[in-house]
Amino acid sequence: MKLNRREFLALTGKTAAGAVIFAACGLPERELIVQSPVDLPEDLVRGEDAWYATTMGDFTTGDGVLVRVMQGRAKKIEGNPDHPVNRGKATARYDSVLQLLYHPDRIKEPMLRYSKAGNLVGVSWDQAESRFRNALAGSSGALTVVTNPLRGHLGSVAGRFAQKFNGKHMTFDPTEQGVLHCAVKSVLGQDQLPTFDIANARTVLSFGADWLGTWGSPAQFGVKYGEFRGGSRGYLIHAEPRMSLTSAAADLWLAPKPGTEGDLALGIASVIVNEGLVDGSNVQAFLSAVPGGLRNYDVRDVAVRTGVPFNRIQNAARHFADHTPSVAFGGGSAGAHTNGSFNLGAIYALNLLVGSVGSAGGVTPNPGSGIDGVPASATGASFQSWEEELAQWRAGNVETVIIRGADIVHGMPNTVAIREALEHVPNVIAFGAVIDDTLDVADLVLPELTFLESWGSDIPEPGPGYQVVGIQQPVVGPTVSQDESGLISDARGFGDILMKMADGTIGSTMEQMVRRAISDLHSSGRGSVSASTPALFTKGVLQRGGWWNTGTKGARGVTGRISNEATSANYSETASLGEGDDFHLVPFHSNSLLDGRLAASPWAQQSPDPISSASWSTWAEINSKEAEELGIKEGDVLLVRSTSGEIEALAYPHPGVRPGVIGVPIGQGHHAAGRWAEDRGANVLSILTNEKDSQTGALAWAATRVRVQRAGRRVKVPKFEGNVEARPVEPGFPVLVVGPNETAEAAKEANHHEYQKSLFNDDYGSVDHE
Amino acid sequence: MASEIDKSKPESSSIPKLLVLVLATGGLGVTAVMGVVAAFVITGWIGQPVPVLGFEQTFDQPINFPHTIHASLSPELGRIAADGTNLEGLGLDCTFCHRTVTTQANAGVPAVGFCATCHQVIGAADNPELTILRDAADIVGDNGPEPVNWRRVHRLPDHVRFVHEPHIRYLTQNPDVVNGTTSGVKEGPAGVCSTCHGDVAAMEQVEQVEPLKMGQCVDCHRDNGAPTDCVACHY
Amino acid sequence: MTTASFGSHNWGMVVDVDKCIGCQACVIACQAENNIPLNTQDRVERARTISWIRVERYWEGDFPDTKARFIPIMCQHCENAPCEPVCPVFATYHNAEGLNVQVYNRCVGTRYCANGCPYIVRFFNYWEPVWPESLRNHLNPDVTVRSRGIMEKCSFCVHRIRRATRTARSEGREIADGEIQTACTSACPTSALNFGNFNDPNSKVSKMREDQRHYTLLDQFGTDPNVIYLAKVDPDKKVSVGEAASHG
Repeated sequence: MKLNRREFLALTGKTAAGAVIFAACGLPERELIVQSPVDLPEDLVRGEDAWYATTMGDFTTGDGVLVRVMQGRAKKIEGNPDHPVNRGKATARYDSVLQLLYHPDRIKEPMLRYSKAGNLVGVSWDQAESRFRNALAGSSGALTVVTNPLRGHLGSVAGRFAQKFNGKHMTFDPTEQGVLHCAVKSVLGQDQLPTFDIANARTVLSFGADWLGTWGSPAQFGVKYGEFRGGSRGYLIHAEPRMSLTSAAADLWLAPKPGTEGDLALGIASVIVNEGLVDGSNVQAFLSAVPGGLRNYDVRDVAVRTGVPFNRIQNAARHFADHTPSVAFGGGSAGAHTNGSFNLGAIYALNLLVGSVGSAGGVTPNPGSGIDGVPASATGASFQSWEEELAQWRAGNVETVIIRGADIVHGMPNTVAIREALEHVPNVIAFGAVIDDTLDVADLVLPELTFLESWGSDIPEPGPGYQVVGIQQPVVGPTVSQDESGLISDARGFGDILMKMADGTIGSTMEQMVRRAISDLHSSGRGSVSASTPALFTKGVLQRGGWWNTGTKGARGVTGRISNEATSANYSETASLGEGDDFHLVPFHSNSLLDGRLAASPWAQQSPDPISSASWSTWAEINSKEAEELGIKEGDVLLVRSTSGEIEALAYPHPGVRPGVIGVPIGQGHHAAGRWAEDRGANVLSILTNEKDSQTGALAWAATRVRVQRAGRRVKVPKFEGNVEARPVEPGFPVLVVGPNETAEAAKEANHHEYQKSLFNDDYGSVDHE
Repeated sequence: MASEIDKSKPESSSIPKLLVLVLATGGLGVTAVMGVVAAFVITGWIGQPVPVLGFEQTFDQPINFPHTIHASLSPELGRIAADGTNLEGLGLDCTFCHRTVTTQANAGVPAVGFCATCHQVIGAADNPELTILRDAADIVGDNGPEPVNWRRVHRLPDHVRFVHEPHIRYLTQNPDVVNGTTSGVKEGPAGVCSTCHGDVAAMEQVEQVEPLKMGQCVDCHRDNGAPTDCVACHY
Repeated sequence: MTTASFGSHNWGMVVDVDKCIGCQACVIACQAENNIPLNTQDRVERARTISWIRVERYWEGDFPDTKARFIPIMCQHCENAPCEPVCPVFATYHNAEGLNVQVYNRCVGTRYCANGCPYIVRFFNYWEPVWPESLRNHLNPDVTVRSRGIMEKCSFCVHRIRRATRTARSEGREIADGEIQTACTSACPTSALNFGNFNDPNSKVSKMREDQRHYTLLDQFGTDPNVIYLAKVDPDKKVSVGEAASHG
């Protein structure tokens, strides 16, 4: 009898008042039987709502969440107010994960393909496990475990499993951050990503990274941004070739030519040094990190190279140096170039110039993991090592590949011919909750529990500047369907299966591992939870969603030098691509789908992009003036062609893109991803070329140049913009903009005056209401 | 012209008498059916519909659970001893099983495991109703644990949000408003349930006795100074 | 000790436009909380989407001086609402707590209210909402699923207000400031959205609306909304002193 199955799940006290469960939704009678009351702990049977604390698994960089559970069903995901990273706040992606849990196309049972040309057929777990064992038996030394970058216990299990079978653990991230980690290590001497103290900064200077939208820990940064804008309002400068959420939030937006972010950073530095805006000691510290000095970075030359007007660079530099504390950071597309290491190195070195390393309002270091042997930092393996690995696959040197959380078929550029490489691997074993392109070609598909159903841990990166361990607990039981069909999915945990296949040599279950880690934390005697007994301590940790220790802070590392192997960027060529106009391709994460891992969720699909308001599709953003010159109109189907392939995207011209740049969102273009995502839009990752960062070998995913041609068709862009008709009213509706210390009343008065004047002069229209 | 009309008369009267009879009875029948349907709809509109065609106010439950034995104290309704004499009912408080009625929106139906705490020992081993329960609780049989799918008797439309907690609280504080009594001595919250549910302790099979229409809700809310704002219940 | 009684509050929202980053967290949180039907591609293309809260984006200027301005817009819960008098069946009305209430079971779907609303925040259900069986698991049981043919709109998460009021009453106390968070304010990472009681002069929202940046949308219509906006700050905006101000 499973009566006590979840008595250990501790209830957190957010709002645990009652709720009307029976009188709702038109399915009250069946609500009673969704999960056997015999199986349920008392608190759920009674129809109370319970808020369980957990972490978000693969969908954030360690945010703490509360999940509202009623009658054994997860209803809502909100931020955990106790958690030091996101402090109760959310992103646009939290709730979408619920739809992966309850996805109608969730993989129900293990599936096996008897030959590479055959179809997947359902098998029992026993059959699947024996197939798994057979695969392992013959592949010592010829095994590769492929996962997304994993921190926490799952990361250590995957690594140890690979080690046990003399195999390799390869991590995959389509927009890998290896360059970032490398730059942070070499310039600031940090193993983990440091914390950016945005809340206490007066000036923030960021490059390439859309940290308010999709980069790093947007919920954490969002909370800090709210504080940054309150009180004495900070000034935000952001450099990115296209209008991202962060560019839109910036007070000063610089749009450099892609790949010249390092130039721009050193140009800013040269203004600061030449104008003597900072202390000499800071200048010394900075120059010792920049081997080549600032000789080639006179602001006028930089303005030409970067395409950013000279006075804007000057303004940025003066703000950055005069209004301290100030912090500079970057990532994303700024590091995704052949000179990525130089770009990011130069950007992070700016912190030395204003003396903001390790101080409030600057870059604060993060400590290592709070649990021994559990990784606190993770990044994707470099593209170069992936190319080498795939060559091994192709040569038949790898017998078994185990894949989890990494959609390599969708995420790799065409240049590596990943489908063909997988055909040379006899045993491709893939885990997942909903089918994706990789599972679709696997030989053995194993249904995996989502983070809402399984145990685990996560160490946030970047953390808040002190030790944090987030604990992931199962908040709902095995997913039973409401109709008579029984289980939605007979899924198991990835970690549990690996441990079973290793015959207990690396641990027995994830649950036990996590519990042991919690009791180790108890014996350390430090941290946010204090309890007399281990059992109470465990309860306390689970209730709060984790453990944090404000006492253990990160140590300042040894400052190094920036890479100057390649200071200028190379791009892929376009000469051989036939007709069309040349553009620089800047892929960006979809605000709701990220790199495509949420593509199966219809909420994520229908969520409008903040800038274009488009949904359900792949669009291409180009500068509206440029589009006009080229005769491209909204909805024109564009053929975007690089040396490695071609995709179709719907043109969406707007004024927020640097001319010559085409921005295409990542995340669509799956062949298989459930009913809402399959064969929808196009996969921009597939047409990336194999340009690499010269130092780390990371994929330079923003270094592709493309030729763009109209296909001759035009369709309606599925966008929200225009669904609500704009009213012809005065300027200042609905967004009223005030200057510093201007009252809303005065601004309205001024707008009104201008409006009245325009009625006579007939020049109204300077503000473009769309 | 007139002759033509005259000619037509014999033709119209030539409709067979049988047909007239059939049509007349048919018409009467239709009228009668319409009347019955109208009566059904009107009674259903005002109070509870006539209990036909699945509109009964009570259902057979998967387990024939007797509230009388559990909740009543009266010997007539209570247990029957082995020698055939009537014993008192247990007189359990309503809140003994419906545990969340004083704190939550819904009163709560106990889990099978909760019933089993008593019934794995209490009750004859060959009692057919208890066998269903013990099977569901995985004490006997090999079907594994399974929920008992109780049928809902008191049911409000989906757009109504009824919350037990404030009603129980108010009625407990204002006993003069309580309508009806529950068999057996009931004090505290359990004494007020009868206001809407009738004397459940005296029912072999639970039946809805009050119409529980909006009119009834609003009347009571008016009389007791409770909010009559639509959004108090509809959201 | 006073206890939370019905009608002693005036619920409202203060939106700091300067903090809004346009991230859509509020939009999805609202959709999940309030059982809003899926906006399928077909519905998006036919401009028949439902989103109780939306983030509008406005362009200003040309490259490189482009600005994208975001503003979240939801039902303004006007004290003097144009949607209310036009409803022939009193399905929408203003209640004593400052809410503009939509009563689903009264609505007959004339759509007059949607015509009357200058903010365009009322949505008509052209279709019966459909979820695949397994997705019904995440429906919120506190909120009625609206059927075809009726209007719906932001309710200020009235089910959360009801619940908090109930809890406070049973505990014999007042509702604390900040105790009620609507789905959107709870999700908003930058705290641009704030919810509270305007009747309490010490509440966070009451203090926030004293800010000199406060304004309401379309105040010339005299709707007197319960949603107060704080203007976007542009530190580089040229503010001319005197009457003949001009910009742009």
